[in-house]
Amino acid sequence: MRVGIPLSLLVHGAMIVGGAIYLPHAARQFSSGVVVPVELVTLGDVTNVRAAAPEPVEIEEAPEPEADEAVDDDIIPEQIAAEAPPPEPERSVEIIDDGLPEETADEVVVAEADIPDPPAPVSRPESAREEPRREPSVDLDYLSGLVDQAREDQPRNSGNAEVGERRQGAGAGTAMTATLVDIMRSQAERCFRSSIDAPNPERLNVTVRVRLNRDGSLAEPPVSTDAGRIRSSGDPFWLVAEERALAAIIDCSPYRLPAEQYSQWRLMDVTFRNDIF
Amino acid sequence: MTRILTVLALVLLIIPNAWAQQPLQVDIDRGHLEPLPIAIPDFLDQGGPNARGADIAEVVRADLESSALFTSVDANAFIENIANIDQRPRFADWRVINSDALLAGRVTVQSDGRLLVAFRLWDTRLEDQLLGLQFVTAPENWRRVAHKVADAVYQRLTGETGYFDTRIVYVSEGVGPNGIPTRRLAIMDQDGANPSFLTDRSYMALLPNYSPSAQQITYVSFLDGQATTYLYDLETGRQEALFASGTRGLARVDADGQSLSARFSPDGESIVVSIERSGGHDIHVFDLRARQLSRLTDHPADDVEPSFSPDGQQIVFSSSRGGASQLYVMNANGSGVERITFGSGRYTAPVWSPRGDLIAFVKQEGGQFSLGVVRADGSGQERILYEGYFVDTPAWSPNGRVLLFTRGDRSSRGTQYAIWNVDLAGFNLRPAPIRGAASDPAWSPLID
Repeated sequence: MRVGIPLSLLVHGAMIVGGAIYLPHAARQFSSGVVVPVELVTLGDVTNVRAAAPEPVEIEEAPEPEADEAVDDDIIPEQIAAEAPPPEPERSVEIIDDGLPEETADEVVVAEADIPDPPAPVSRPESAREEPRREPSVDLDYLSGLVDQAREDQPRNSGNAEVGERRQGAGAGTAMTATLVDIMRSQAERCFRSSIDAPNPERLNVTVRVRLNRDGSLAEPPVSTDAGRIRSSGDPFWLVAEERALAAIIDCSPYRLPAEQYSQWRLMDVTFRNDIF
Repeated sequence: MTRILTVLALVLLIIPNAWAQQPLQVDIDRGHLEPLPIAIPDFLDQGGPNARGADIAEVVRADLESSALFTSVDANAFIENIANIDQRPRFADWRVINSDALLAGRVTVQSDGRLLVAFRLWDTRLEDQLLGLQFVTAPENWRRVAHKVADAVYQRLTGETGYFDTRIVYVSEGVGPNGIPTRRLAIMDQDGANPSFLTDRSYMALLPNYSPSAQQITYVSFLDGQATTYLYDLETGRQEALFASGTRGLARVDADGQSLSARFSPDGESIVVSIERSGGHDIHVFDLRARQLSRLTDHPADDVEPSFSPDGQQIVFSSSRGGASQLYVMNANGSGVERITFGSGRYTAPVWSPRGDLIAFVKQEGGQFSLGVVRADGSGQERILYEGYFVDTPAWSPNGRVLLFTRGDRSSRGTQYAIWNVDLAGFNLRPAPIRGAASDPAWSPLID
């Protein structure tokens, strides 16, 4: 009896340790996915026309203007010929001709102050998940233009598998199914308002702890794991990036994830990166 | 022994359980930059017909939409009627119409006649108040208060300072009564309101630039027959020539001394300018207090168009010292000149971004002009924001997010000049709200 209890404990312990060593690796296999779901997007619905695109140029024989032509006489005579009345600026507001500028010193706002918070709510409103989902708003044209070069230098973590590479699947377990990470990424990134247009955006990464119910809804409000550092930094861009990350998690919930693998995605750390510029 | 085994068993049970709770790691490295939907109901009017709640809300909406970072939710879609800005809104009513933010404001006419403008900015998804402010001002300043509200909202939702409570000085191009072309300085609010002329038709005025205090500008005048830099006080209308030959001007230069492209240092205490002496242009700095002119470059080639870095430690300029015009950066004392552009074509009109990380430029190559930005250290690739028939005189918004520039388009009546703006990502290309030909924009700092 005295030998049996310790022996039993040791055997069970060995099994638990063995499981502890193996299972995390087994879970990681799913998170190092190489297959990503492909979205078919109508470009006209989601892309913007870049201003940098060359504009149609009239083909004429006229010489190209020089940089200092703005002060040359040969431009204005053309205007004279075409415009009978003197082309004074036409504005919706009448211009005070030859007048001095307005007195700006007297226009300054007298006072500015915070106003106190309103009373606390009696009851919280409906949760976000009960609302209609938003249409995807991925600006592929713009983002691809911005990140093409940066991505050339980054290791690929999505896309088709290379020749000879084993595809790690989830869901049905076939090679054509996407991994959990890719499924989650493809859903959450639609709601992520990027901060890559902020100065030095690479410093604005935010990690959000997400706890999900089995139906993919949020089990609790998402929490920023960087909240302390962000508050102490006093960086308004980082604060906005954090709010955008939290909002993205809320906006895109509930998530469609394979229920049979719930134990693997019930808890997530989702890192929103702004360092692709 | 039993205690040891019990502890061991507990440890063995706890550690694997902790490992099993390891969260799944997901990286999101893509997102979108579409405009943020914001609902801005008319501000509540309290205390009389002069409260202007609807007018203020309209200006705020126009400001935010002009940035292309926001889109105003149609008021016809509103479900909740905001009757008291001091009560929490029904967030679900705003989320369901896809409004990510809600701005609720109130205008109160106080007993002394002044306006008290209070507002609260809400995040409808996080169900949290992001900002609550109030302003007090004279009734005639309602537009400025609206711009300040827009600036506060912009800053809270983007992290960067706004640029709506600013003014723009530009050159209005026209033709005088005798058919003589005229170029006059004009000034307006950034949204085109309150325009007025600063100079008359009797002389050409070009290339204005703002002081950091927004109280003064420099510009080039042909008042005395040659290009001379003048200092213009916007508050008093007083102006003086800074550099000229003969008896005019505060600093004497040689007889052929044209002075061009003067820009203030960030502290407003000096001006950097290119001055023509003995047939060549060099960069000089003029101390406004000591009234002393110092040469910074001395090169046979033309060094022109200087612009300070926002920390005042460096100066960018264009020079033909390498053949075709390229951009160079040097220390503020003229030492350490380094070339930062190496592409084909001509690089001109460099202007240092208020953020400090980028320099805007104009590039002319193959009969085409382009507006671009390059990192201040010359690393990385240039980013072209606009290409067209003619581009000149870029000017940054005070937050370094938007560029104004002169754009020339060919037409049957010749080249038509206008001022356009484009944001740093190459989006939101649109004309400035000026009717008639215009050029040479200068964007003021935020007005205090």
